[in-house]
Amino acid sequence: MRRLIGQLGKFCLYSDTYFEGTCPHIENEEIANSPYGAFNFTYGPSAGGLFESVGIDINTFGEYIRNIKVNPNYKKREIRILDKSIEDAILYIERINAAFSASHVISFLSAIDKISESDIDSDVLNLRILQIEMERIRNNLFVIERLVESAGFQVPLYQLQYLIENVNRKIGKLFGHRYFFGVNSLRKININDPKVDFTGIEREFKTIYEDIIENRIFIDRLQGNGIIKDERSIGPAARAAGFYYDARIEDEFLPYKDFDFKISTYNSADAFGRLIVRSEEIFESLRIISQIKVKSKEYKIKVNDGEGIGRVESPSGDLAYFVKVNNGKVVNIDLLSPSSINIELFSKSMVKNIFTDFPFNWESFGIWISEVGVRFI
Amino acid sequence: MIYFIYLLFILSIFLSIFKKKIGYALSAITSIIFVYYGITIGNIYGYFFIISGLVWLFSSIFSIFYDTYGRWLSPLFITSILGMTIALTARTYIEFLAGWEIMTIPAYAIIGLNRKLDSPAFIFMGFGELSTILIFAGFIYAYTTSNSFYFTALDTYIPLIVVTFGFMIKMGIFPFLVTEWLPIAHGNSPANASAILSATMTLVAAYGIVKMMLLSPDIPILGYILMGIGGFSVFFGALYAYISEHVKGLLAFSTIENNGAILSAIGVYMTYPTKTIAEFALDVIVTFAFAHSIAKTGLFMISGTVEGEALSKLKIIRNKLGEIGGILLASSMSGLLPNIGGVATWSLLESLFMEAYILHSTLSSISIITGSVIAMGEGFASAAMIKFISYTQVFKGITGKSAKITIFSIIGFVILILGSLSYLLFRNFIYGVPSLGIPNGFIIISEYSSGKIFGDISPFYVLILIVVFSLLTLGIFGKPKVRKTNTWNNGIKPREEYTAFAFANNIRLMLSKLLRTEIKRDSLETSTDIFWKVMYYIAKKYVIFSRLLARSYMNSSISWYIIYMILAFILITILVVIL
Repeated sequence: MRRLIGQLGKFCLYSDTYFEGTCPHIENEEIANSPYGAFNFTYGPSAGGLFESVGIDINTFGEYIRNIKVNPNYKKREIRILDKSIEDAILYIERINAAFSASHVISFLSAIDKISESDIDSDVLNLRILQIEMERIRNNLFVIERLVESAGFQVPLYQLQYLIENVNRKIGKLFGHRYFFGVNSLRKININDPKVDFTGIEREFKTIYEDIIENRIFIDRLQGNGIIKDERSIGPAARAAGFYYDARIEDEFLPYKDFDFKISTYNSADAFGRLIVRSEEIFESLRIISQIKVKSKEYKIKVNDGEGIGRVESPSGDLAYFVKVNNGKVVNIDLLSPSSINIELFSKSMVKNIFTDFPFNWESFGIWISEVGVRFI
Repeated sequence: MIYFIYLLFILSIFLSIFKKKIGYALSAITSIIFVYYGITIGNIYGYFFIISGLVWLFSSIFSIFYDTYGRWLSPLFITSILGMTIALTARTYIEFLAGWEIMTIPAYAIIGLNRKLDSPAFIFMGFGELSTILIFAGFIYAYTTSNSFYFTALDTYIPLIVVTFGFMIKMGIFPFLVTEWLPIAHGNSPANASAILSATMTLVAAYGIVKMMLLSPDIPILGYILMGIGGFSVFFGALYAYISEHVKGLLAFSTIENNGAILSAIGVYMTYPTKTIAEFALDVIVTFAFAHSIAKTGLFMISGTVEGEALSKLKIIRNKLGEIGGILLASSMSGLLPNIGGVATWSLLESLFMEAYILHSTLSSISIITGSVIAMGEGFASAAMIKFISYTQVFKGITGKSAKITIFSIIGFVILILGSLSYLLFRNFIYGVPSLGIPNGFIIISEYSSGKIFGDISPFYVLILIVVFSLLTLGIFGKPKVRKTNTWNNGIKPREEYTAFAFANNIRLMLSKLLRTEIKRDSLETSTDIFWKVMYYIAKKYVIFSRLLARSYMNSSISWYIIYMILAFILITILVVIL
C-alpha cells in the first residue's frame, strides 16, 4: 500500500516512489476567531521543561487547548554545504542533530549510493543497520526518560539516564564516538572494538519498563493523551495508531528483510501507545543487533553525477535526503526530517487536550527541533 | 425613635427627587441613626438592624458618587430601604408585609427602569410575589391560631414552615436549590441597588425566618431539611459564583452561597441537641449575616466602578471607591483569619460538627455531610472572590503609578479590627488563656454544653501576631528594597492576558458532567445551571400540559364545570375538616 510521507524539496515523497510537485494538502482546521474567554499563551522558546528552543503558541480557554502552533524557527540554522565534497558534507550532516546522527548520515549516504555505480557490500549495509538500531535504542530510552521526568519520577529517571549512559559508552567503545561522528565515510565504517556486548541492556531495561507501565499514576498521564490516528503519520506515532508503517520494511536499500524482527504496533494512538511501541522497538532493535556480525569493513564508493533520494527509518520515523551531485560535489540537497512531520501530528493531537497533558504528549513524539529549522546554503 | 427614622427616610425620598445627592446624604445619616437604634435594642434583632444600617450607610455614600442614572433611581433606592426598615422593625404581620412590599416594588421598578431586557424585572417580581404569597399565607395561619396580628409566640409550627419557604425564595434558595433568578435580577440593576438587594433584602428574609423561628415551637425535622438545603446552596452557589463571568451575577451567586450558610446555621438552631449549641448557632447566623453584608456591599461598590458586564472584557475605572470596596470584600474572605468571614465559616463548621458529635447517631451524618459540603463550597467561594478582586482591582486598571495606599491601609486595618471584634458577636463564648498571653475576652470558644469545649480561635491574637511579626521583620531587616524589572517572557514580548474565564476553566472541565460544559468549535464554552434548566423544562412541560388540559376539558362544557365545582367543594370541605 502506498502511503504519503511528506514534502522533500521539490518532490512529494511516498513510501514506494516520489513525484515532482507539491504534496496533496489537507486543510487543517484553522480556528480563526478567538471566542469569549479564549486567549493566546506562549510557551517557550526558552522555558522550563523544554529541551530545545521552540516557541509554542497555544490558543486556549484556560486548561482546554483550542489550537496550537509550534514555531521551530527559534533554532533556525543555515548550513553551508553546497559545493562541498561528499566527505565534507558528511561532517556537516552528522552534526545537524547529534541524537539522530547515524540516521541522517546513512540516509544521505543511501542517496549517494543510489546515484553511484558501486555495489555496496552487505556487511557495510549491516553495519549501517547496526548504527541506526543502536541510535533507536538510545533515542527511545531518552524519550521514555523524558516521559518519566515529566511525571517527576526520579528513580526510573536516574535508572534510564544510567542506561542511556551505558548505551552511549558501548556505542563509543564500538565505533569510537558516542554520536557516530566520523564513523561513516565513502571508504569505510570505523569500528573500534567489535566485541561490545549489548545483552545487559535488555535485562536492565526490561525491569524498568515493567515497573513504569504498572504505575497507574504514570500511565494515567499517557492514556488518552494526544490521540492521533492519521494516515499521514509516521514512525512510532503511526505504529501506535495501528498503522504498519516502517521504512525498514518499505525501503529495501538497507537489508532489514535479512533479519528476524517484527514491527511493533499498538492500537491506542495515544502517548501511551507511543511509549509501548518505542519500548517494544528497543527489544526488537536488540534482537536485530544480536544477529549482526560486527567486523571492520573498508570499501570504496565511486560517486557519479546525478540525483537520488535516500530514506531510513529514524527513531522517530521516516527521514529522507534528496541529493544532487555534480563533479563529486553536492550541488543540491533537501531534507525531510521526521520531526517536521511529527510537529504537525503533535499539533493536531494537542487540540482538545489540557495543559497538564502537554509535556507528556510533546515528549511522546520524540521531536528534535534541531533537525527542523535547517536550511542548506 | 423608630418613627423619627421612618420620617427621615421619607424626607430623604422627597429630597432625592429634587437633589439626589442630598437625598443620599440624608439616607446615610439616617442609616447611622438606625445603627445606633440597633445598638440600643440589645437583643439578637438589634444585630440585624446594625448590619442593615451599616450596609445602607456604605451604599448611600457610594451612591452619592455613583448615581448617574437619572432622577428616579435615588427615590426608589431610598424607598426600598424604608421598606426594609419597616419590615425589620415591624411589630405586626401587617406592618411586616407592608414593609416587605415597600421594599420589593421599588426594587422591581429599579430593575425595570434600567433594563436592557424585560425579563429580569419580571423574573424578580415573579419570584418576589411568590415569596410574598407564601409569607402572607403563613401569617394568615399564624393569625388564625394566635388571634393576633402581633408577632407573638405560636403553638403551631405550620406558619414557620410556610413562611420559611417564602423567605427562602427571597434569599435565592428556590426551589430548595440554587437557581438563577436572583443573579438574573440582581445582575441587571445598578450597583448601589444590587448592593442593598443582595446584602440587605436577603438579610430581611433571613431575619424573617429567625423571627418566626424564635416564636414557633421546636421542629427539628425542618431544621435538618434547612441544614441540608443550606449546605447544598453553599456548594452550588459558590460553584456557580466561581464559574460565573457576569460581574454582578457572580456576586449574586455568592449571595446565595452566604444565604445557604445562614440557612444551615438556622438549621442547627432548629435541631439543637443542647441549648448551648443553639445559642452558638444564633451567634453564627449573626456573624455570617454581618460578614456577608459588609463584603457584598464592597463587592457591589467595585462592580459600580467597572464598565461592562463580562469579567474577561471589563474596562476598569480605578478609583478610591473601588479600592474601598476591595478592602470591604477582603473582610469576608471565608476561612481566612482574622477576617470576620473566616470567623463566620469557622463557627458554622464548629456548630455543625458539634451537633454531629453530640447526637452521635445516624442523624449526625446530616450535619457532617453538610459541614463537608460547606467546607468545599467555601473553598470555591474564596476562589470566586479572589477571581473577582483580581480581575477588577489587581490585574487591570493599573496605570503604572503605584497606588497611594495610606488611607486604604487604614481602612483595611479597620476591617481587620472589625474581624477581630467579632468576639462581640459571641458574647457568651468569649474567654481568655492568660498562660498564652491572651487576656480574657479575646478567644472564641465553641462549646456543646456549658464548660465542654469543642474548639477555639482568637482572630485578635492572629492580628496581633501579624502585626508583631511584621514589625519584627521590619525592625530586623529594615524597609524592603524593591527592585523593578521588566517581565521576562521567554525572550519574547509579553502579550498574554490570562482571562477570568480561564481562571475558572479547570472546574468547568473537571465538573463538566455537572455543569454541562459544552465545547463548540469557534464558539463559547458554556456551562449551564442545571437547576435552572430543570425548572425551565418543568415550566415548559407544565405549559404544554395546561394547554392540553384546557383544550380537552375546559372547553366551555357546562357539565364539566359542574364536575369541577363539585370536586372543589369536596376538596375544600375535607381540608377544613382536617385543619
